[in-house]
Amino acid sequence: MKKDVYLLIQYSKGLPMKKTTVVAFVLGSIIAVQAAFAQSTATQSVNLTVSTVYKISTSGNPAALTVTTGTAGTDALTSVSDNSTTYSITQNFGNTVKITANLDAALQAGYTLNLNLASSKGTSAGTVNISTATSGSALSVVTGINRGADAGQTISYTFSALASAGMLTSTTRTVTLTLTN
Amino acid sequence: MKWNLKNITLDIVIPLGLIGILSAQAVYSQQATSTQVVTLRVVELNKIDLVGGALTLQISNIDENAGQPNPAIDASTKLLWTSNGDARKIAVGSDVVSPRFILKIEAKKSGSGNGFAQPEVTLSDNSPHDLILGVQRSAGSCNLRFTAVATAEQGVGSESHLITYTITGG
Repeated sequence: MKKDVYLLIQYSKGLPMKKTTVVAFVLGSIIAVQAAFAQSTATQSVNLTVSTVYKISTSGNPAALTVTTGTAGTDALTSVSDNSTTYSITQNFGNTVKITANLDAALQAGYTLNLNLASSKGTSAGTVNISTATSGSALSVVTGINRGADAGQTISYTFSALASAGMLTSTTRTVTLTLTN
Repeated sequence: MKWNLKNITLDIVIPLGLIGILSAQAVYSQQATSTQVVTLRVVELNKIDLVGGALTLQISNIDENAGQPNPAIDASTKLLWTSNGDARKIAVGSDVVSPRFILKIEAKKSGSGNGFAQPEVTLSDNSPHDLILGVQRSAGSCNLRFTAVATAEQGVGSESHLITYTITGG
């Protein structure tokens, strides 16, 4: 490279002024072109993975459901409801995800616990009687849930009882909501 | 290594099969749960009600053979109850301490529910009298038969009773 430039300079010494300018211009262009091609590259492979995400949460426990009144002559007492709690879900698995519900133990005959989950990403099954749904017989309460998130959807409980079932001292049941495919 | 059916099975098919099974389980057994605790309670509850409002018993005919006025009878009132307790009873009473005319009441147990109708009760004072016993965890009903009786010696007049029905522990 240095030799080439030297030769060009030497050559330009014997040329008139105008030709010297042309030679300098050509020389500058060659250097510029060489500079343009004087670069290096490096590559990386970036692997992106999104794992299956299944999340469901509830906002707390509903208030106590206490049957306190009824109508004379009618065995079915006046039911009570609670819709103070909500659930939220996030899933990226597919569009056939569902939510099932079950109790830790079935209720005695004559007492009924209904559950209704609202949904904007799936289809609510409406009011579902979960009184006898246990872990081996969970019932679908929302089906066809699409990928994405659905936050703050209302959970409604309705508790009813028959007079013929008698009184019920304070009893707890654990309701399990399962987001599953 | 010499490939034969045994080697292929042991070295390729079985491992691939296991991987497949594990992958399928990983994909298809995805789930998440959340729980809520629900507290349920049914308090003791006793309800009683009447179908039929105020009624008038008018004694206006006389049994000429007996020489006394005929009783006036009304059976248009229906009594309804609901109780989730055990061994309840329904009592009836009037607010009149010393009635001038005789007023009787009888439960005609033709409706639903359990309980045992007692014999006809004469409301001769303002104390409660048993009307139905053995009401137990049920909703029931019966018809009420009122009978007003007067003698000729009692003359004419009118009297008002406020009848109270009470379902209580029996």
